[in-house]
Amino acid sequence: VADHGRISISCPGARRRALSAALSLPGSAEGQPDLVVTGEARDSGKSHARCPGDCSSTFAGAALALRSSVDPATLKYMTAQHHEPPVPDHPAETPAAIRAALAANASSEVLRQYDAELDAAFAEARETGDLTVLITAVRRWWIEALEWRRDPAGQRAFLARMERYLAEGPPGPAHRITREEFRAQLGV
Amino acid sequence: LFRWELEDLARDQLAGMPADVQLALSDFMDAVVIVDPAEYQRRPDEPQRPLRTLPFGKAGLVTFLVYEPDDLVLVTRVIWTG
Repeated sequence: VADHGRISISCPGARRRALSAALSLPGSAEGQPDLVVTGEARDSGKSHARCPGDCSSTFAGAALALRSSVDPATLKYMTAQHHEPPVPDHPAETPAAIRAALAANASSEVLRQYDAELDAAFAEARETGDLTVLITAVRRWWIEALEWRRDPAGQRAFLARMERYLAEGPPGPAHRITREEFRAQLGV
Repeated sequence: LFRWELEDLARDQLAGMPADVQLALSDFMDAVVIVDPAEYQRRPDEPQRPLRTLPFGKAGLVTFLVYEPDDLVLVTRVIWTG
């Protein structure tokens, strides 16, 4: 669905991870999205595609074209991926939903970091035509948003601990496990 | 060369995760220290930060502290949403 330069998809069987992040790129011209839906088989001219998993969902946007800025070879891999059904309590993995979740649970400093990182990722995606950084940023902050929603006190305690480490140095060896010890515990 | 270690609190977090996730985290951190973590930037203008958070595996997030005086990369938080 295209709406004021944004496009989104709805696939009940998918968590819309990478694709939904990519689809939220703002339009480059009034009423014109940066992203246009071209269908799963671009060459066939189809405008809809089927979820590659077994959810039998059909949706627009399984293949995308980033207007004049994305290599078609990249688009070949920008297809929706099937995942387990979404958890109802989880925010959608989209920039807007992530921001709303952070705004409701995290500090203003965390929200500022999110905005800055996402802005930088958007800029790089536009400049390079490579969405990897953008997708990575959205995924990272989606997980952060889940944690802030699940345990805000725990997140605040974690950030306070990190501030202490940054100021005073990391904890001593008694509070650390070496790589070798850890891998030995894993049996590798 | 940097080495990576786990803070005990992060080890506790990992203990509740599947073995393949723990192995994925170990492999990911091996990759982190192949390059100099203190110099690593995702883009040229990104400020160098001693505290980094990156996704790993299918549904993981790891935060680590880069402590240059000891050539140490310390994993301080691991989240798995899978």
